[in-house]
Amino acid sequence: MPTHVLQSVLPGLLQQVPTTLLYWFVPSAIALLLGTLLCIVRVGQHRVLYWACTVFISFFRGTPGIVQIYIIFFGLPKLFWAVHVDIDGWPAGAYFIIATSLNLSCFVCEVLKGGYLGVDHGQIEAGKSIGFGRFQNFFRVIAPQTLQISILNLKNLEIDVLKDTSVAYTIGAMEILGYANRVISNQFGVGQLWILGVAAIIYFILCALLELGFTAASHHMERHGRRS
Amino acid sequence: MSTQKASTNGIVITLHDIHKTFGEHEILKGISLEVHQGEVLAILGSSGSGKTTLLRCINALEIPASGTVSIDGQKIDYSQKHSRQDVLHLRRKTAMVFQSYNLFRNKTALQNVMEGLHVVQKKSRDEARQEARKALADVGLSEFEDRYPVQLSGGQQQRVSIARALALKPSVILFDEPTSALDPELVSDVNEAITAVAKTGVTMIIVTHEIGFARRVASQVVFVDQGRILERGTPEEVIDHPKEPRVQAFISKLSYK
Repeated sequence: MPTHVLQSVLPGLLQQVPTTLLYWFVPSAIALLLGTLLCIVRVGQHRVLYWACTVFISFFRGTPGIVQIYIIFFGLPKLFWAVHVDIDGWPAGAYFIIATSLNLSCFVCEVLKGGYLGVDHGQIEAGKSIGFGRFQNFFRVIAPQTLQISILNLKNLEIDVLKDTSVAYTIGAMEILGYANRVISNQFGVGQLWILGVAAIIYFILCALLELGFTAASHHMERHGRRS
Repeated sequence: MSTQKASTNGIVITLHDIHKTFGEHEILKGISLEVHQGEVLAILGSSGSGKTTLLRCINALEIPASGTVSIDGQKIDYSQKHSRQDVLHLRRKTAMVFQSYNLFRNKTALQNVMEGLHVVQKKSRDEARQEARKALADVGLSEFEDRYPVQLSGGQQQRVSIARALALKPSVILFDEPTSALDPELVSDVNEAITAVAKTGVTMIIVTHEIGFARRVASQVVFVDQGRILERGTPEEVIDHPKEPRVQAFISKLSYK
């Protein structure tokens, strides 16, 4: 029985891996950019922007992710409808990516903010003292050191995001868990635990690979911290 | 490093009536001074007198409330509107050696020195590397070029930081208490490196607590007290024969320590 289930379901589950990776990667890339921008505002001097971002962030950090996904899934088409744009044809995955990107940006912002505040101010002054302009100092001193301090927290976030792609199936987006659930209901629950188990193992392997990647990256970033 | 003594003794730096306040507290109450080409100016004074703030006003790490700073043809009048570009151009005439070294901790000694040459002065990597190696050799650290700051002693880090400043060939190098964070036995190495740099004719301004070192290396000394210059002159005048009672008291306290 188990081998039979495996043979029938594993290829289909594996076929969903690229989708799961897409649901992880696109929000991560967007959030790194948007989170950086939010962070710049959050540590900056502009009061109006600061409060706008703070409200935005506290909403996304203070409400459940799944509620946000529902609100975007049901609300965004209405919002676009109001300005006479029809987005009913968009796939469910697009809403999931939008919601996750916004949510993740807020968490990335706060992680980066913590990292930025941890950068020794002397490093920034050193950059100024050798004549770095604002952008040179940002890209050559502030950003790399902020990233280095933040990398372990970012890793935790990214692992969560990878696992939380499984929530996408609640709005009908197809990925590993969505596929597993469809097969299960098609078979009226036969082999349910085996199928879910295989899905869990696939998630586990993906997370392990991500963890390895982050460990290698942080090891590389911390090479200067070793005494020999 | 240029080994040739400056032929002209023109004025490189002019500060005129510099004021600086932090909140309600006025730190600098109108400081004016001139530094000539090749001169080594030592700024003395007790803690809280404003000497470090004065130094940081020269390269605009602190922005003065008013007054003008002019370095080698670049001038900013802080009472008037000035742009970020003005500040950047002025700052690029200078380099600084910090009390706590402030080497880029994620870069090797060589990369630290190359950074300004390559990124700011737009020299090719090869050219920057060559000049950086020369500057490291000048401070006696050639064999440490691939070490990260954490792998160097405080004295070595500070010498790398001197090389980083030196390599830029700035109009002036600013030293902010360069030895006060060092273990006592490492101080002399750093002081020697600074003295060697001074002998090459580089204009320098040094904020220091070390009267003895100031006496040896400086050609001019100013004594700052409560945001004003209380006394100025040659080391013989200010350190050996101070006129102001406040300066006399300060010097005698330190000499007997």
